[in-house]
Amino acid sequence: MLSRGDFLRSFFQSPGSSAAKLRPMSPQVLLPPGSKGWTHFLANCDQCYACVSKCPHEALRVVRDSNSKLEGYPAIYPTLISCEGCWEQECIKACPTNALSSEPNLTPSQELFIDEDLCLAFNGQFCTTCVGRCPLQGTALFLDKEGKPKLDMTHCTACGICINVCPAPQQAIQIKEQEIVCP
Amino acid sequence: MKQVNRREFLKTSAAATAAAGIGVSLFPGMALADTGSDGMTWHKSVCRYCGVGCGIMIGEKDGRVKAVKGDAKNTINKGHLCVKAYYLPKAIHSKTRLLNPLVRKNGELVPASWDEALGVVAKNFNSIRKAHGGDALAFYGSGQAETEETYMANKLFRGCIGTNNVEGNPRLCMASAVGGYLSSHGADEPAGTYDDIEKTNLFMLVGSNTAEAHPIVFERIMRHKNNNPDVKIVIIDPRKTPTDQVADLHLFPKPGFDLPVFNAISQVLIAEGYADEKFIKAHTFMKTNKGDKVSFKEYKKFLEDYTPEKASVISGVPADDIIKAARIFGRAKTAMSMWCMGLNQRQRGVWSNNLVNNWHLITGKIGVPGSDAFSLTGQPNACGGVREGGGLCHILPGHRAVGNATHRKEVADVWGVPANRIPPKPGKHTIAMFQGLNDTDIRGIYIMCTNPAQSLPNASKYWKGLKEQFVVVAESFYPTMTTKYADVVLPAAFWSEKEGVYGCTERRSQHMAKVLEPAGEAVWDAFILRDLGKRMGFTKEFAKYKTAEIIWDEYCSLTKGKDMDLMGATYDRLKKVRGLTWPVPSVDHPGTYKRYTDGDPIFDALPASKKMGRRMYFYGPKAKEGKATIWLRPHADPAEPPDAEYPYALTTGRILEHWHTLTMTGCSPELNRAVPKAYAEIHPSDAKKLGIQNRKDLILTTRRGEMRIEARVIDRPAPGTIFVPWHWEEWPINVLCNDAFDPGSKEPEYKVAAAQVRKA
Repeated sequence: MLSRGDFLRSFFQSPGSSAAKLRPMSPQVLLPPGSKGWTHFLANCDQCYACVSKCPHEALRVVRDSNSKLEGYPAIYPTLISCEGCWEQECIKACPTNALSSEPNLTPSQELFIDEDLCLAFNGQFCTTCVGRCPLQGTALFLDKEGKPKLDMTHCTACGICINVCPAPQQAIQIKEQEIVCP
Repeated sequence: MKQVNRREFLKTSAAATAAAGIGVSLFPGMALADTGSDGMTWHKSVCRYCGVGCGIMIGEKDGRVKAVKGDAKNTINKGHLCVKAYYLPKAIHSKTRLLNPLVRKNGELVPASWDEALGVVAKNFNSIRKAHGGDALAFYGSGQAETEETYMANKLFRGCIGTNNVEGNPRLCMASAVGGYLSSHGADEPAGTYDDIEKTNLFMLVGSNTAEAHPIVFERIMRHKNNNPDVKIVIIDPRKTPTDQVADLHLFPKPGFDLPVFNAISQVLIAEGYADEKFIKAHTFMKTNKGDKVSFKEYKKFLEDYTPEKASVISGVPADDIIKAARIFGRAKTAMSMWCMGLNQRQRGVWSNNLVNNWHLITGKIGVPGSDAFSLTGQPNACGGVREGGGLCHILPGHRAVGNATHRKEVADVWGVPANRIPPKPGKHTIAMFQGLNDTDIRGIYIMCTNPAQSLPNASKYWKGLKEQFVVVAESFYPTMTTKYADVVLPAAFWSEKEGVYGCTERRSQHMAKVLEPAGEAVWDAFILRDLGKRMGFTKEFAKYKTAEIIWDEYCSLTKGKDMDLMGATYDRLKKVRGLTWPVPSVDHPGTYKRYTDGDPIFDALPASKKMGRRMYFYGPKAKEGKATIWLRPHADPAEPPDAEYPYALTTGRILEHWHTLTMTGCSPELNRAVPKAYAEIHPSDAKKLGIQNRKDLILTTRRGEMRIEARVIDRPAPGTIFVPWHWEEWPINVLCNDAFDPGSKEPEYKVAAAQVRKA
């Protein structure tokens, strides 16, 4: 484990030295809406970024993390801005390659979970922010008998709004890490 | 250094998370490892936010509040807090705290010494008083001020300056509930307490988004329902809210058109035989609007105009739903109605309060465990400091009335001022007060712990007076919209930097410890007022107030023998217990769970002749023969119903993560991240019609102004209704709200304004 001093010392050193090793963990990202799973998305997206330029909320960004297998692909960084699931579906309409499609795909390609160590509701508070803001409140995200938020992945669309709004010191809803197989 | 795990770390909120931002995000749980360690001292206090009155423990170390946690021994919240309270430490040590007095010179607010600032205020107030009389001065306080602070203001303005222009923001939130209780039960404040929540079979939530505005009460409701699936929850509200997560039935009246629904529920209750005629006969009068007593038969005749079918036409609620709701109410063994701003902030707020009280009086579902008509309060000390402490223009401390000569004399005697110093006529209520500033009837105002330039309805109309007259603002945070108009700004000690008492919704008075020295040169509001009084020449009158306890004891002496007797709630006792619910007439009295019935010391002391044949005796100052009143209140339209020109109904409210004008919750980046800006909720069908897209701007126009605001297309408001939360200075929705007010309670109609909506 690094001490704070070590961290700060390395932080102020020039890049390329030990700082490179300390690059923060790549932020968790969600695939754009309308993608049909990793394989289909990675096989079909030709990185034209039409969806990125069309997104009215600037929620779609290009992954610039060279450690990520998604580098160069469009994605959503829900800790920054979440997908609003707008009806206009500008991103999907803009996609020329069928990487994104508006055919309903009820199984999200990624799974979210609540980290109970981080969630305020599991630590003595009565916090309902994520449930209150979930577009599928009551089915995808709901309060259980104890008044704690519960995620049901059979209904969740992985839009990321809950991740975005979580007021815990470190956002408590996380994306399950998956093995990504590049086509 | 003691190591804590992540869970422990989160259990105590960390003030220093912002400072240690990098550390926290990379190594959760490590950066603040000492947060829970033994070096921390924990102090018992009460939450600074809403009127629920949650017990809070403040963790202090090295002169800073490092963390807060719920007080597990507190009966109200049993250790739980909502997310706002969790981040309270950030407000205490915020950069927006005002640290020194400011005086306006050449148009700019510049730092000044206390001596200079108080000198300017005293000189101006004295010259205004000399030239134009005491009524040219006014005080505008807050339901967030401590009882001791409001008490000092009362003494300075009423007892020394000699004006009844003493008001507070509870006029904008609770006045209709006061009027409702006084006219229905004869005394202000509910008969029961929160303890009824776990004993009831039915919750009627009327005009209340409990889940967001009173989260811990909602948690208790939800737990009770989950443990007892037979418990029913009926909501009457024009908007679907997060509270609907637990609802069995939701009635959606058009905003401002719900009075017929309330009457129709009574109509069904009586027609289907759910009325308790024995209770009605022994405990109630029936009165028309004019105050004439009528018979039960006449009441039934009156209700014929409010059959579910007729009510349905006016309100838009299906008749079947009204009948269903009434039957649920009638069949429930016990029922608890809870309501909030949806009833109070209305041109007919008192009437709507009366009509909800009626259900309980008709069916006798009051005065027994689990049954009550329970008004929820918005601010932590609106009940304690303002309603009980006499912080409105027509009332005096201890549930006394300005118009009553004996009451005035009792108060003047305790204050040590001549009895004729307190004028016999009530002063100007809030809207009249700010209109008075516009009209130069009032030339100087002292505003304490509130932000009226943003919070008043039709706010921009009243900026003129604030700009032109002499305005003093005592505030912990700077800047606010109101300090823009201030001539002098005085830095006030914030929560945890002062000792005092908060009285919450359930008649419970709780003591708050002083944990820190005030930031910078800030001073406790009560001492600012005391010192100002001395500077104005009232040296003798303010000589004795050296501690908070002296002020509290004097105030308590004014409650002796009143319906809200606090003689048993001494500081010594309050420091040990988790609050006491009045009446608590002596130090060995445990406090009262139910008023007007067995176990209430005032009821118990009544002669047997008065109690004969009845289980309740409504002994309040406005009650006659110990009886409550069932009111025959007809329907009345809101002041500004939607019409062809302004077809939408604009309604406003609170959200979970923020509070009032953001002076406190705005200090927390986490809460700002959760809800960074204001928005207008609009139903998808309306949005489609108007071509408005989610997260794109819309323009909202009322007869008072126009605002560009982000649309949130969501099926929460009913079609035809727009909802906007009111917290943000950048989107001051209250500028668009209507300032028409209830003729009885003088509370403005924030909840209904006719509006136009168009795509931006």
